[in-house]
Amino acid sequence: MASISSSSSSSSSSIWRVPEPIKAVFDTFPLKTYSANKKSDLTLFPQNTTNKFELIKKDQDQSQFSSQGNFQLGVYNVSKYVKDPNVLIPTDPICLSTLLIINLRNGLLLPKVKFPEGDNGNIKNNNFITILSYHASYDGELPLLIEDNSGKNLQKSIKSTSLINDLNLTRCTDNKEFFKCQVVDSILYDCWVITVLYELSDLQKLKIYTDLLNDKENSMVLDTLTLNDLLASTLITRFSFNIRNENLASYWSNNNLIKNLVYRRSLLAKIEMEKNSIFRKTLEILEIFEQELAKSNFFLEENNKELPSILDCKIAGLVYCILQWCEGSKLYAMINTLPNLKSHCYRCIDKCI
Amino acid sequence: MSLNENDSVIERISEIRPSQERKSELELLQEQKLEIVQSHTRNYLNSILEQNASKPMRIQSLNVVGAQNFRESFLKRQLYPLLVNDKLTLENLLENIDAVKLNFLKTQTISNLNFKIDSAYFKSRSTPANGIDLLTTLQLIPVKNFTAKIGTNVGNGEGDAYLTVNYRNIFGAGENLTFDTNVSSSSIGAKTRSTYLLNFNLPFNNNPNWRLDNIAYSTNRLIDWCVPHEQHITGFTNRISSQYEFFNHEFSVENILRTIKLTRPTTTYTNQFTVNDDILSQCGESFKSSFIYSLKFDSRDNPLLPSSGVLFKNSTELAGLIPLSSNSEKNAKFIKNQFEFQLAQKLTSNNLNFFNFSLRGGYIHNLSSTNNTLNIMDRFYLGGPNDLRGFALNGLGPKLSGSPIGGNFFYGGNLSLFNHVPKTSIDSNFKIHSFVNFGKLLNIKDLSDHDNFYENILKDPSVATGFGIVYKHPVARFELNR
Repeated sequence: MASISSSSSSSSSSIWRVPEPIKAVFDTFPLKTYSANKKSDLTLFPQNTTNKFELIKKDQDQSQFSSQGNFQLGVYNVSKYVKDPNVLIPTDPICLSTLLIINLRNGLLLPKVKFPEGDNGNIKNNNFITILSYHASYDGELPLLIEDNSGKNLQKSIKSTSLINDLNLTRCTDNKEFFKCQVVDSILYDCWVITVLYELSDLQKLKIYTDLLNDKENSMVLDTLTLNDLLASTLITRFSFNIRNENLASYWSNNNLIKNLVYRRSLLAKIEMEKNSIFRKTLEILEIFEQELAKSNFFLEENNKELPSILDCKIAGLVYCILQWCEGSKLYAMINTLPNLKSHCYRCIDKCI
Repeated sequence: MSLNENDSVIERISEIRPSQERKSELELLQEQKLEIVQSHTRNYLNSILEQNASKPMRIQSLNVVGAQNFRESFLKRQLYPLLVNDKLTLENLLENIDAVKLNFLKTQTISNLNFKIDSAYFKSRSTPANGIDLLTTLQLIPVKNFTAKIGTNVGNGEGDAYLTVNYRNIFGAGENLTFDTNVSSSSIGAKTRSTYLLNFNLPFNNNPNWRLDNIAYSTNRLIDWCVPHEQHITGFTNRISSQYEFFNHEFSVENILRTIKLTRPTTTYTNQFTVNDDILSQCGESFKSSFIYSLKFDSRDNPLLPSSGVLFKNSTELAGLIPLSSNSEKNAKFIKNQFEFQLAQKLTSNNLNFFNFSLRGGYIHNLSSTNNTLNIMDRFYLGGPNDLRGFALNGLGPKLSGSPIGGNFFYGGNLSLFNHVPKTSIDSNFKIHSFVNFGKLLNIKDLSDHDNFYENILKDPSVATGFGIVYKHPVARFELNR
């Protein structure tokens, strides 16, 4: 057995052995291989700071939770807060409610237009909101939570809109709050979407969902060209709107152009039915919320500290955006008749200023 | 280059296929006889042409066979060298015939051209006493008007499909319409690259030396050598380019809508790059409207592996002509200049050993007052086997989270020595290749801000050296280097 193995190894070595001169050359070269320098050189990287807004920390004593690690929240756009033009606020209700939840949990304030230091580019606290395109998200939906993973060097973890929402829902104090949050994310969100799609002008849509500057009074060719793609990619699929409202989603989707043309009349009739149903349910739900708020400042008061809960933030985000952007719409008219919800929304936002 | 003029065709075939039956003695004698007759006729014709090279000629009539395929104005322009009869000699006539053939070939309207000359029965009064009047016939053999190619390539876990349609000489003045599409995928259900291109091109003002291209295109490709993302470009390019022998110019106007979309890393490529702030801020749509001028001088004997000649190319792009977006950050606005120089020189007279030296460089100056970053599709990247050997693909220069982010200034050079492989034929396409590469890629704010240009910018380039084998294939060059 031993002799067989020895003969086999000697024959293989004679056939496959690399000739000495070639081996010597390949052993010599390359003389030295330098590994890539993984350290990022920020002096060589021109950072775009115009779309970043710092989230300043509140006084540490007042915050319930301390901030762990650095993060940035990607949102569609920001606008000036109606009660304080020095404060910036996300234009989309989901982005706004997510920011309120994060800020309240981490003891952070809403970003300011002008920093006390007077230097917008000098971000000292590495928590901020960033205006991003919906293309920055794998599924085309914002908000996006980008966290520095302190455990692994140079790694960032990205949390999608649905994951952020799922994590927020796990923090609901009881089943009642959880189900109310689900109602906000489904029926009230659906009503927001159809209001945006059917009742807002293109310019309003662009101001909410793109980084179109708010002081611009008209959009231009590129912005208008990309608007329909944006709405189909970001609004229709978020929070499963397309599953609940099949006909509406089909009409606005880019993939069903021929089908929509062929069955246009019947499709429009079905859409009208879907819209009416959503508006009816929305009114019922808003009236229930209005009655609940007549009894207390917030829906649930965590630890009796008068801090808004997840549900408060979700409703406040939605109500604020309706008041800010949807003037003249059916939904705006509904909210305008509900004073408790209006004051509740400002109360929640003011907690982060 | 690969064959000696003295080698006969029969000898070469017999070398390739030695098992072929030997020819009979009679056949060999017949071949030799034919060869002698051909050679005699050729020599006789050459001597007549040489003797009469300066003899005055006059084209009395020019008949064009196949003229129905072309418009009159187009034909006139291409036949112009033959329509000039002043001080025409036999030598001039032959040169003019060559010029006409070249004109037609440049317009891509003919596959071949036959020319027949007869002496006229009657001599014109304007013809000199010792001159000859000619009746000439030109036969134009047109290219196929319509061609289409369709195909698929399937590999291990990847595949692509393509369709190319050509419609040539549509209106009789060399107008071509090309539709080209290619879709490829690296996994089932995923589209990694797609290209749709429609090109309508024609000789500019019937001039064969200038060509006008109008191209509409939409391309989509997956970039996985940095943070994985999709780059989608849709737009129009209008280009006027010259087709002279050495010096050429190109003027282009480009209007493109670009979209960058973040994608999840594919399962087939496990890259280590994680999302960074640069790619996040770059995602979205942007518009570029630019004017590009390129100048090119090329005297190389072969563009793939030149053994002699010089190439110089300079390209300048001015972007930001039309602002299509209300957000100035979405409108690319910069001036970009790139140059390339290559020198090929024989070291021995028999073309066995030669060297190539090349130097490239470029700089982009951002003209936007509000946006301090350049679009990642506009930046320079450096490194890789086709670029700077010995470095990862686009691996040089600034990085963020380990991922290359490109730069706005670069230079790179290469010195290559090509030697004959011992014990191979003289015309072998294999060469021993030894090289030294160097290059540097930077992101610099303003070129004029740096006091000591050499110390701050040029110093300490990345250098790689190696050797290997290079193979010159008719369509590409293959290298195996260490």
